[in-house]
Amino acid sequence: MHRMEYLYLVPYAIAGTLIASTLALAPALHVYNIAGIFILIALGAQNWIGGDALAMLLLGMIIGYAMLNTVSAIFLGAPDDSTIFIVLPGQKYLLMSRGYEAAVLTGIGALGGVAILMLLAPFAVTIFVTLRTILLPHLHWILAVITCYMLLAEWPKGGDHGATGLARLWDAWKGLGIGLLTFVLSGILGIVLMYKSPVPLEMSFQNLLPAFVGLFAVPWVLENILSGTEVPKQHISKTFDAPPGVVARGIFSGALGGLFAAFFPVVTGGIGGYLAGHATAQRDDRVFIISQGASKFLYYVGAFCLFFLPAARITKGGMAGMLATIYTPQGTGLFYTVVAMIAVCGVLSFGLLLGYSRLAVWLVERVNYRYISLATLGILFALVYFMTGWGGVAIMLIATPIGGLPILWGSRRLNCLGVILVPITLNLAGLGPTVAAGLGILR
Amino acid sequence: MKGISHFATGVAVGTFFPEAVHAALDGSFILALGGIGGLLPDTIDFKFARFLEQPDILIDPHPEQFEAQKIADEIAAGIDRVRETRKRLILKCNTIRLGPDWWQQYSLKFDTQAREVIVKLGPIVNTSQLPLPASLRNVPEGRANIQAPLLPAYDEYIEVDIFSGPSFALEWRNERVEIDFIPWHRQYSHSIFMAVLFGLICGLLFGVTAGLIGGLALLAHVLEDQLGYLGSNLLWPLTGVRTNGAHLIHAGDPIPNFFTVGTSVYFIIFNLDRFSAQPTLDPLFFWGVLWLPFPIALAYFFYRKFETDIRKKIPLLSQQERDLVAELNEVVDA
Repeated sequence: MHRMEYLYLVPYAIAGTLIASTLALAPALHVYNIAGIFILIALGAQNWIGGDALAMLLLGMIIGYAMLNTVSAIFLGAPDDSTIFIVLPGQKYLLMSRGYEAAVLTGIGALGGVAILMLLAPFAVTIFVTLRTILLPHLHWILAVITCYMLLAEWPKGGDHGATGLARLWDAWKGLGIGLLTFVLSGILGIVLMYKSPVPLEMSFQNLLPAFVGLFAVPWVLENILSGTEVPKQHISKTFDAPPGVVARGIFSGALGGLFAAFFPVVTGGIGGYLAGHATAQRDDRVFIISQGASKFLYYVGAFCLFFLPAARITKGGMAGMLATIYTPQGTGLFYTVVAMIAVCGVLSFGLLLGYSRLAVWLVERVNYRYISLATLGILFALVYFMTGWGGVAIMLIATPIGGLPILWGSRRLNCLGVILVPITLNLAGLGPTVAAGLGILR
Repeated sequence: MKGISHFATGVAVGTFFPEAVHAALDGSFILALGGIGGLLPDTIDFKFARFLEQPDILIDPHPEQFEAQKIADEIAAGIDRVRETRKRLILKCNTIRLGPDWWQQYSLKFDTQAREVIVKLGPIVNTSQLPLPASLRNVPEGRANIQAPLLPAYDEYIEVDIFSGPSFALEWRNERVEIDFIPWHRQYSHSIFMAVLFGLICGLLFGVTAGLIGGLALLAHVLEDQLGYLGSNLLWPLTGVRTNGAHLIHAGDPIPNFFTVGTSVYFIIFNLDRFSAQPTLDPLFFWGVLWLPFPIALAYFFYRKFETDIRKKIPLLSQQERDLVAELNEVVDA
């Protein structure tokens, strides 16, 4: 095998990065939406673009997206399932004139994620194949345990006021109750989508798009419109208040969470980062933002990288899942080409992050934030309609009030992930159809 | 320790039971009971007990009429009343909410040397406790003398800002007033009795193995808390006070928490493999090489800690209350 054999793949990866980096600026436009369309096109065009080239294009796309999707989360306030934890500290930074700094901190975390992937690559086969052998039969209860922790570790945010103990308990439990209700309603929505989705069959790979947009992006955008958020003049800083110790702690914590999320089904970068943040007892906003950057990068890119593992081919994540239907990667050479491209495209997309963040700063400084939010809402609606039709719009409209509950009551937005955690945990335990029948969804 | 450390320990405890691992393989969720048991003591305290406590002295300041002196006087009078009546009083400081994400911070300090209560207004902070720039108002601090002798207490300012404010038990003990921080925490919920009770409930509902997992997971939480500066009311209902801990760690120390979570995960993986049909892990390599960074990090932590402790000589009560502050912070962070 010639050692330059894979060199022709480099432009595809770079092209993918450039495409996705730009598309990542559109709020809630997930890389999987575009990748799904690419794969549909590639199905009919496999003669002119080979499997390896398509895989490399998608790799570049996922790298660009994983690095740049924070821009829309921070500056437009439209998060998805993996950036839900970034949007809150990110918007706080934005309101303190430090939006650019927040975006760059996530990028630094993502660059740390690149380094972690480089370091792990030689050991990846041994580690992940062994872990998969041991843990695969236990996934259902591990997911249940993660869910239990998420729900149990939400603590009351009220309870000071009330003449009696019961009155204070009620005050405290209002938010917790709403958190549980959010989880249950999201879970039921997830079961409905799994068994009786109104999304047309030909667009079924976009099944979760309207739910995610409704649960995560629309409520936040609506909040920005209703509250009349005003963004102050932003400061483009040349230096950052992040000493090496802070960066190292953020990357370490994010790497743990991201790798966990990359490996475990259903666990997103946000959940992984949240668990790792708890496990490593971090309290610093900067550490948190850096860790979320590293976590979501490793979640998206790490999961896709596992697909290329020689002799293992672990299919985790939407991108690998879609690609696996038409393509099988082969060879150690391709795996190391993937690793090298992660480094090249990771650095390239970091450069793009700096540029696009400045562009976003320019935008929020010149256009009224309410108009930006209204335009974002319009884009979200159009995206859902064009991708999934009126059925998808209906799902989005149902999901929006569920996603709005945590915002109105101050409970945890993470509970909206019941939409994937509940149906998949039940299915892995073999209980999915029984529960769906119990809810009257299946007959 | 932090909640996730207790939770992970609880799950790890469950995996030591081969029948539980085999049941889990068949679709059972029995191992989740370990996690629930591991987090239950803090769940009882932070989600129920703290709200059922009835305050005798309630500090509930108005955001626009913050009178630091009046608050300091009220607290000092309460402490002196304990000396006169010998009756235990609960002091509760409410937070001041200004909006969905904004809170008016204030802080108080019990200066046991100078026998003073000091109250001062802080900045407006958001729910991440980040101050709003230029929000610090020039309000004079309040200082009130206490006549009663005080037992040494937490010697730093206690900030009252977001969510639910702290409470203190003021109690006459050894001819002095003791100021006990968040007295509702680590009482009956952190006792051997509670471990037995939870084990019995799980056993009755789900069988013997579930009972053992639930009870031992809760007991593991109680034992882990003994490693700190403040233990718990271990022998409740036979005893009524919280004991001293082993003084090894603080609840919020990152390395011991990371060690606990990491080691628990290692135990989970090792046990799942050990009880599988075809074990693949080499115990010597797994524990002797792969686990090695954890004890090395812990050894480094203890080296640094004892070096600092020898230099600083921080009073025990102060260390104990730092433990409790760390636990309150976790609840805020979560």
